[in-house]
Amino acid sequence: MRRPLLPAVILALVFLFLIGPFLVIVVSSFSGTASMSFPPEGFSGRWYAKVFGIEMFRTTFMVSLKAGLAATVTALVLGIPVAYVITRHTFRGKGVVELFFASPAIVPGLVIGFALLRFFVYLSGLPVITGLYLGHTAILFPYTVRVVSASLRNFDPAVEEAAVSLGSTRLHGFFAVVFPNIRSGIAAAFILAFITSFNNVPISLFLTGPGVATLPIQMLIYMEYYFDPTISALSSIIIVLTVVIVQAAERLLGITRYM
Amino acid sequence: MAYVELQSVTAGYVAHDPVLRDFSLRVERGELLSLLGPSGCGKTTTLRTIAGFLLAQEGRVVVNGRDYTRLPPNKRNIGIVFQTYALFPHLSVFDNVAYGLRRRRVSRQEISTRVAGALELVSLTGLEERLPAHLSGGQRQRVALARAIVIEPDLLLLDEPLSNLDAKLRDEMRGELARLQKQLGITMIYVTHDQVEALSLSSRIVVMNQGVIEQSDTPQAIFERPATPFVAHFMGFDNALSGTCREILGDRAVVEVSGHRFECRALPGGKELSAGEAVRLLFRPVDVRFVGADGADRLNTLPVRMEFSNYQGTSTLCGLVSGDQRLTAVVDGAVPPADGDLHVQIEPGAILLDTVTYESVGGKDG
Repeated sequence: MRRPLLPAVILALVFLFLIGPFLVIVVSSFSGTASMSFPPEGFSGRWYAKVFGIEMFRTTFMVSLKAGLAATVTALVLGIPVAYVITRHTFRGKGVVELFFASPAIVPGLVIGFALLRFFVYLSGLPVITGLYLGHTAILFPYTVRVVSASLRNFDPAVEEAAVSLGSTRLHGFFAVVFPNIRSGIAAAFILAFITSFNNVPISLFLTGPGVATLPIQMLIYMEYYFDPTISALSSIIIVLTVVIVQAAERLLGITRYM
Repeated sequence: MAYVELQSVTAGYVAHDPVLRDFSLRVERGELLSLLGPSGCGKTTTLRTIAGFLLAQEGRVVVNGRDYTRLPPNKRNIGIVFQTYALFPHLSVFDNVAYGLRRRRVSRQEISTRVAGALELVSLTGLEERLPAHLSGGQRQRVALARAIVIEPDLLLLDEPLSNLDAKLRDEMRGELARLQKQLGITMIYVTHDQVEALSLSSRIVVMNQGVIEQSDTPQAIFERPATPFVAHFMGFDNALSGTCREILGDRAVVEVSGHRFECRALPGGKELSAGEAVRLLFRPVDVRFVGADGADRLNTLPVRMEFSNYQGTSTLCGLVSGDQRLTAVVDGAVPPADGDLHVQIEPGAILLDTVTYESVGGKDG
């Protein structure tokens, strides 16, 4: 039997389209010359060394990490109860509430960034890092609500009722029998939210100020002045880290079914 | 006062459109009561109201002399077996069964004896360390049962507990349930839409329809003497022949169907019937008998034409037409010889009368 050729070709093209840019970045990060070119001339690992040598990258990485972790944890702590209410209860205006929690995922990031800028920085005069933390929390919220909702929806509500009929309060039942069984969903929400925060540009662009930037913003700034493969090297590191984390989480917890 | 009592309960999921309205139910101690009805009839709502997952908007719920109306479900000492088993997936069989005892602060020692006892009762000894995912459907069901009875509940509620099992296991578990009920003497309320399950298990059946009790009686009475057309239909009185009432003779009625004379029991529920009124004869397919050519002048016979017959091994399903009316028959073994005129006979005792209401004039012809 002959395999049809056309679907295979189309599939290959789609993969190339999706993965091609990443390959270009990774390959060019090993370039021997100081200018970005493809295919690169020569081979060198010095751009990787340079990434770690630039202090701004280190400090902004820490800003991204701290703001991202804090915002992710906050969005989860707030998102789990919201997800619970949305999946387990019907109430008047539920559709509006759901839309409200989805809105940050629909409204363009630049608009949110600008709105948050007006609110946090101009009106309340918050420190930049706090504004960043709050802004990221706001945009991560819908992701955590969504992913945790998905895992709650997959979990039979009768299990909680069984716990309650056996003597648990609703709250105890949640921690005793629901939480242990939606842990992988929560882990999925954590990873998705953190990666979203870490990669975010539009919100951070508005909320960062003098002296404080996140890593992606710093990368943009760097690129305005230098066009050497350092950025490719840094991007490659981020790509590899992301793939490793998501793969590990998928292996251990099977997180992608909640995304 | 009965052991379990719902007094004029109004309950449902939305305030303005309750499933149960002014609903009352009494269950005696030690009874195995089935709530039987199609989906949406209110049987599950009744169960959830007793369990406390739904709070009665009006009326009272009393169990064992205690007013449960406002009591949260975790304070009611009620065991529940769910349709989906609802085992705790992350806990072993032992921990699943021990859950309720731990909530009750029972001592470690007592927990292990009581869990062991409960597991022995449902023949699961030796599987204590298994996780639910590594059990068969039947075993999960037994864990769910053990978990519910180990707390020595005042009342055991079962919500279609056998509907996720295959036919053979269902028969086995049904026997098991009956044995447990006898052995423990526990009061059980059993929700099901399966009439065979209800008939074989219950000491009493409550047939529900649209939030209302249609009939509450012993399995035998429900099966043989349905009180309403709904119960009759639910209990397999699938045939309906239209006719006209001719006369009433005591508890018997004489009805004319396409010029043929039928005698049958008078209308159930003591409803009045007058001569000349349009009625329907309801009877089960298994109560239709074929009679020989000489049967034409016997009592309760009807000439029919065979439309189709499906041989099903121990019985044959026959689609019959008489004039413009259809009926089905289930006869033992193979089909009778189909040449020439066929006649069927239905015993007077097997027929129920139903007055023809406006809706049912069209009859069932699908």
